[in-house]
Amino acid sequence: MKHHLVAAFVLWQALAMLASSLPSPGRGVNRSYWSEPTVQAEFQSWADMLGTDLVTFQDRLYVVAVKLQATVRAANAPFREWLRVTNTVQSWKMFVAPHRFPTRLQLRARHADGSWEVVYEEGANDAPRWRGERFATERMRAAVFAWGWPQNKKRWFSACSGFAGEYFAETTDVDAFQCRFGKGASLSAAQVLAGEPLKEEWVLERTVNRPVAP
Amino acid sequence: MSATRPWLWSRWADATARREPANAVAVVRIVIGLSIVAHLLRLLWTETWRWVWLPPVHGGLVPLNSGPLDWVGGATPPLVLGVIVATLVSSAALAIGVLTPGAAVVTALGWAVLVGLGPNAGGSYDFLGANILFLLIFAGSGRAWSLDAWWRARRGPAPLDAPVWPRWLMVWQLVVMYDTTAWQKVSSSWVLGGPADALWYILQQPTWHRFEMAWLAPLYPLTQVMTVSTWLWEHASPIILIAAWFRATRGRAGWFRAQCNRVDARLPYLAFGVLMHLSIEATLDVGCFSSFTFALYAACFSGDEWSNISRARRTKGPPHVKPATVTAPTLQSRVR
Repeated sequence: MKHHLVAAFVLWQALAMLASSLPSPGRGVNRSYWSEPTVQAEFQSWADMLGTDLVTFQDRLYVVAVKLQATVRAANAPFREWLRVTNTVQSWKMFVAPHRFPTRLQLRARHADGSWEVVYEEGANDAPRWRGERFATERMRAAVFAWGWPQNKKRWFSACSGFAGEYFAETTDVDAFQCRFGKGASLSAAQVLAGEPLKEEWVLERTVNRPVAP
Repeated sequence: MSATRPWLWSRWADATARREPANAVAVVRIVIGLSIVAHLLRLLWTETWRWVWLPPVHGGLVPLNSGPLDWVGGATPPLVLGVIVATLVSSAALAIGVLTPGAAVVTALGWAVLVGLGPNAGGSYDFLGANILFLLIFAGSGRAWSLDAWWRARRGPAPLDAPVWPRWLMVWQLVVMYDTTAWQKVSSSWVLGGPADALWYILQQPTWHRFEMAWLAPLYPLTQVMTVSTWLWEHASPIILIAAWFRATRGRAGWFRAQCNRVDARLPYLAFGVLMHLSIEATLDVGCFSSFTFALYAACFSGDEWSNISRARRTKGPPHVKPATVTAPTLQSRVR
């Protein structure tokens, strides 16, 4: 009898692992994400490959994505509680598409004389690195990556307040702290070889003023 | 009774009832334990845990997800630090194999509590760690290469073997992970027929890379080759399950099985994987993902194979190779 219970459990677990991993669009069915330049570039590329226009491609893709999402949800349903209780939910959306318009974090402090000082900047090897050891950890990298999407603006602004609070506690001549992301198209290899510069605009900018002492 | 059971179910029940030396799952246990120790020590040393696992009122950056800590007053610094230390101690115990089943349970619980706290501050390694720890609870991984096993041997009893099914589920985990990630790589940059520039652009993302990667531009064709080969290699992951199964059942009849067993397909497949993950580690910081994956690589070889490797290293002689014709009866004899 024990053999059969073990066999049933192994089959159940194997199916649960598969059901939990099934590819699904996830947040991708939320069309608010589709306006991102990276997503638009991806759709344009597929529309070109399939010989259709962008609008038609997006409409058809949406229908397919919604159906796929519903199918995956149905396949997942018998296992959902088990996966939740055993903490064995899994999803493998790893680098599913390169981010062609990535964001690059920059933190600046404003001194009493009005000058701005960059205290942390992602990307360049020789950039300032306030709290660099923390930003370099995988968990902060993941968080910073997520905060660069407009959908996470509220959390991003909350994080900025946290950075500012720590920086104010360490300095006396800084009256404001600013967090922002540089956003621009990654250079292709050909552009790098041609010596073209990276063109970025600043987005998701947040400035926190030092609280006035009571 | 058995004649009335469906044939396929009977085979499945026999396969899952097998046992083997615990060496393979012991390697998984050691790698996972050490990886979690290193990960938590880094978060403690840099104090990143305060940013990602505490709410803003206690020095964190963003409001946390709700979770089990809410039942005991919320994520206060002493409580979160206590969970980190408990998980650190239990993962160290897991690595060296002290009170191993309990250490696996405590590490799994601690991992679940911690990685569930911070929104956005995690990755696929959280899923992978949780799933491997769950399987380690049942794997009997402390029965080899552990202080538990050493202590048992000192007292005299023969070493215990381990159920084979947790190791097979680990191999399944590896296959599911690689294959479903490949199916989700539907970007035109990944699929055949596109520009194959996915790796180039991923390596240019400032969030993940360890240093500027523009120097790679003259080697762009190499990144294209790696893009295509990685995508194909991930899709080919079922090979590992088939190859491991055919090796484990090589005493059975069948032309296809015999042909597949002429070459151990696991070795080139996993060698490519090691190369790919080491390349990722050298250029990108993706956390403990690579080391967790390497733990699963260890599960692709049976306990007997790991015993042979260990024996060969000790005697510096060729490994003991079981005659293929007796493999099946031997495995059958392990059915409890």
